Amino acid sequence: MDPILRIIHVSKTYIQGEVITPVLEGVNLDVFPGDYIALMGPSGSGKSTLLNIISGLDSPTSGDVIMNSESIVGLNETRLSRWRHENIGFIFQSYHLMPVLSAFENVELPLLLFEMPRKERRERVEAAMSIVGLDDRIDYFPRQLSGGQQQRVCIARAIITDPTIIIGDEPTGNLDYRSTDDVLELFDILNGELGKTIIMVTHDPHAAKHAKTIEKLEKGRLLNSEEKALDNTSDPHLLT
Amino acid sequence: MKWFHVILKNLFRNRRRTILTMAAVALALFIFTMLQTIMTALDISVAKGPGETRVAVIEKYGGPRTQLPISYWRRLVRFDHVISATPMGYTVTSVGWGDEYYVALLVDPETYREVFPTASRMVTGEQYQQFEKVRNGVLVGLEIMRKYDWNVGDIVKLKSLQHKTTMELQICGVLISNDRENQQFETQMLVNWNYYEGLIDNPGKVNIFWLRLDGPGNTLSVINNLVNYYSAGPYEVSVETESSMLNRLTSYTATIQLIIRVISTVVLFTILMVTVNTIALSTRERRKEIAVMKAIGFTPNTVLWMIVIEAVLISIIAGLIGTMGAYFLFNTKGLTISLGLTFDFLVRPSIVAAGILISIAIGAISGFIPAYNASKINVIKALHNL
Repeated sequence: MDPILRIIHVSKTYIQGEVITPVLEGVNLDVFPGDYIALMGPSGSGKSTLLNIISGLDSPTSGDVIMNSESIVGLNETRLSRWRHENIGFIFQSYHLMPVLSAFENVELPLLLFEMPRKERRERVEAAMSIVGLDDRIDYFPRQLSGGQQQRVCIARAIITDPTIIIGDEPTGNLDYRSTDDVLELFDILNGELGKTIIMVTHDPHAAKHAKTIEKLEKGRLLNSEEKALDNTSDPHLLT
Repeated sequence: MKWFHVILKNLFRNRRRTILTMAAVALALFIFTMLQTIMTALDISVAKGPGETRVAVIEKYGGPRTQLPISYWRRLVRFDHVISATPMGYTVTSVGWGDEYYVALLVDPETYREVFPTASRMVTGEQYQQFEKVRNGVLVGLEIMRKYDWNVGDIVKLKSLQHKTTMELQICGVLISNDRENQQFETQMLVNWNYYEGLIDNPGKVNIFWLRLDGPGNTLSVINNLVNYYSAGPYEVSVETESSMLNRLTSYTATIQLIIRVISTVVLFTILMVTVNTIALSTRERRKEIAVMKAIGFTPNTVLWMIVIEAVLISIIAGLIGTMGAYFLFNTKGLTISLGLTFDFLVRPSIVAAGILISIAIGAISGFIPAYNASKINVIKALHNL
């Protein structure tokens, strides 16, 4: 099976005046369809930078990022925006929903960039809201929803365009114990049942345990991958 | 535009700020429309009328404030190409002890009709005949009649401010304008010049002689003949066409127009700055949301257009309120400013169109810079972390 995403010898160095800070050094990573990868590492190890490069929000200083045989390095901002729209679904730590839009409208937002009839948009939003278990909160505004519910709306927004990869940066970082489990269960469903490819940055070993693969970053380098068998029956809280 | 509802929701995310901004823009456009209307009115007043077939003879050095002897009248009608001549004076009057002032034009009824046929048609023929017959007759503007609940035939007392005298006048008719161009007559009065002469200490003086000529082609020669003829007399005269006369009477229209232009520009520039600030503030507040939109696929151009359209919507709604408000006030309510001259305070469609176009421009210009900055937002910096 061919990888859908290839990170080839990617390095990233930030230069501010005379200060040169290498963040990533020669990172290689292949992501296959249906992967569920947790990126872990201490603060400053380059997790978020790698995630930004994978999602086309940042560009590497050297190396290449290839998705479906197409390099995204060097694409201009407009083409990158379109590429992200088609290929990446974002789940943010702080949800980042539009406060003036209802849950429905927030989820619908990425679809507005497609030529899609309103009826079809509604059907797709309702289906996504149903997957995340919020079909009864469709007209609620973010302020009327709990943190866990807002994160589920964010997940619905991330999957609405059926992206190639779902990217999560600390998706459970702002959630309480119960909501964390709900969201991780949802990730398990998205990956296990719907076959979505997920790459998630997390500090939380409990969250990481849900991933199939844990990639550890340290000082800008990927350490050995640890294959993790998905074990939905184990008590995740024992790991925390 | 599928994302129009998103723009609308953003537009009213801070209702108070949006409404206040709209109010400011609306007020600016109202002022602009009003000023442009006044400017246009000045232009029209100067340019309209029978044009160059009516000329005014005034004292050369003092203008209409200095008076000419009435004896000139008989001689003036004998000049070539002069059909008719009529003397005209004016006095500012008040009714009783009230503080409302009105311009009373002092006219010779018979010749006034010959020189100003349009103005004399604002009363019925019967009423004008009565005005000619009754020495202390007066024709009163409709607005004044209504205000004081006067009727034709009433005897009214008016005080002249210049000569500190009281006129006891019989109302012979009501000046009703059939078109908006002569509407200022509804706040004026025509008093028999002969009657007024009898009340004052130094009669026999006239502010202006108006001449009606037989055609516009002879205006220049008539002016030259008159100026030459009186150059050796005790009172040198200046002869001006109606348009230049109006210029004089409007206290130098060009200066007024320049002031109006400056005020209009300052008002529009100020409101532009206010709108730029509002839109910039609004976009700064939602940097993260804009960053998220860019992250999920909105291109920089789409973000730019969304914000520009938002700014244009604010300004165009406000612009419509401002210009249409002025239109309603001037054209429907018939707001007029009586300066004793033929001012036509009508908001013309071209001014409304200009106001709306300017409001669109204000929105586009004020929205563009914040929109451009927003479209260039660095997603990573704006969100800190994904």
